[in-house]
Amino acid sequence: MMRMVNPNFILKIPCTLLILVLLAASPRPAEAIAYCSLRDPISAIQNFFPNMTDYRSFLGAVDLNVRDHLQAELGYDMHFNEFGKHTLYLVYADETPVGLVQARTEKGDWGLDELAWALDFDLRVRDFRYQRSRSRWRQEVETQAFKNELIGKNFEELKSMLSNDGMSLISRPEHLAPEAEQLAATVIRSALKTIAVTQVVWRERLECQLAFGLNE
Amino acid sequence: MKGFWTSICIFTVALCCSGNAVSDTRWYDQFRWASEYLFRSQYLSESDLTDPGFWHTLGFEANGTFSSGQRDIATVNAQLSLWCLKNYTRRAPVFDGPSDCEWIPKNFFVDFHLRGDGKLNLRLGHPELPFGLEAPVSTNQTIRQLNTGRDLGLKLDWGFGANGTIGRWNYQTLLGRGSGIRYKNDADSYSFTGRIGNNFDYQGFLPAPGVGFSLFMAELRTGKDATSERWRVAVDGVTYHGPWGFMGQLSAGETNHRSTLNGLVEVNRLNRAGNWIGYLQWKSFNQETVAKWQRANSIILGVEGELTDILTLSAQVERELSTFAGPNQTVLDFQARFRIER
Repeated sequence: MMRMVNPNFILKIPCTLLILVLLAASPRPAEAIAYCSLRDPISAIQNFFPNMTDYRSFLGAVDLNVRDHLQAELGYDMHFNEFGKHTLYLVYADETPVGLVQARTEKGDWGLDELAWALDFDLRVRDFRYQRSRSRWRQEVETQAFKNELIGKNFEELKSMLSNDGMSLISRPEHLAPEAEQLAATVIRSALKTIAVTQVVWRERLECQLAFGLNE
Repeated sequence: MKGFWTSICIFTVALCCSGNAVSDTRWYDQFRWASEYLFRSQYLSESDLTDPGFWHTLGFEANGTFSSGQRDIATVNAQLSLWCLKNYTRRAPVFDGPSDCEWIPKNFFVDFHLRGDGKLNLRLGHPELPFGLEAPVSTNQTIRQLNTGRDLGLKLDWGFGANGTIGRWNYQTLLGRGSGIRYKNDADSYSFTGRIGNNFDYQGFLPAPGVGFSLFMAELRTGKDATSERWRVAVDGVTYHGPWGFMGQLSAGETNHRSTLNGLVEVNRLNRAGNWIGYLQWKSFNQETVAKWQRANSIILGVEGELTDILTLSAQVERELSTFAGPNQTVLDFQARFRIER
């Protein structure tokens, strides 16, 4: 049988809620996004580089400066709420560095989609795959035909595939369903973001580790 | 407190072993840091006469990787919490009474990367048991819980084991002391847990889709020189259709040579922005006794919302339809979680 609740407790609940909401509404640190939202892309690394033997992770701080740099490069604003510390993976096959892997999030149909990107040392797209997505047209943009549209392209070449506002494709490939065009544009924006963040956050440490420069 | 100091020792050893391996960067630059405060309240309709129970948590976390040359060599995950209860009826056995404070090392372990490709790691410390949905689902500091604690008798244990990712599959094992949160063990106990699944490398409130197969064998410490024998096998699965998520777990085995069959089904729904989640769970525990099968079933309705980057609110109501002992209760939970990460 339900019993009477102490009236003092009834009063405490709205007071506590009010305090919590006021606290939450106060200025917050820009780097406060949950780091547990990104998955370690170990399976993706093994998939992108079948002959890989080792990887080394580099943690880097993604902050407002990175977003400002990206907006200056693109000329338009874009979804970017992944402040905080993120990881770049430098992949080796035996003693030879073979590429870079990074996981990034994008706004999907339902919640955030997560993509893993593989880049070469010229910061050109080598491969990508979804790690998490509830977007309806995911399979359309994960086909090898669409991947081939992106593989080998650098920042400028990818940027030229998008409209001025970055929200649609300049030219939709025949193999891509019209309904999937918006998601395809999102994937390209994710590639741009991945390359730009790599340049700004990790370039110096990578060049120190690799003992050669990254080309653009 | 012995477990706490053991955790500190493991953490320190890992730092010292890796100290000279990070000459190009400061070791703490490779770490993520987090601190959090949780306020939780629980009300039991038949047990809490007037006031509900309160649970305050102050938590500190560090997660980082040490690297050398061209590879990562160890990853440290350290979660230390101060749990303080006031008038809290349903609590972990680590507490001395309904009003008590304890320092708890939660997921506190080191993964030594024995191979550079992520296929074989050695885990040492105090991790969650890799069993069923507990492996891909994060129930750490959430009021939403799965069956693991009640089904296995443990949720965390001190021990070591191998884990890794091979292609699309992830495996985890743990050989533990069978004593749970407490490191102290004055009984001849142990636990072994293993899981293989394809929802890999990630723990989330909404986990990655996939399936998993688990095994658990243990002599659990139930008191001084007293143990309870258990074994379980389980299958679990997670799938999504647009905003709807479905997950379930079925486990079977024996507790002290008596058959047991337990299950969980959950349907959840996400809003378009992804920051509000509602869920409906059905939990069922069934235990063979001398005379008949005992059954405990409950239905749980809950919601969790990220109001801001640092504040998550959650609420849950559970109605017990049948229990092994005592009256059927209605259990109300509310939690506010503040978390700041650096």
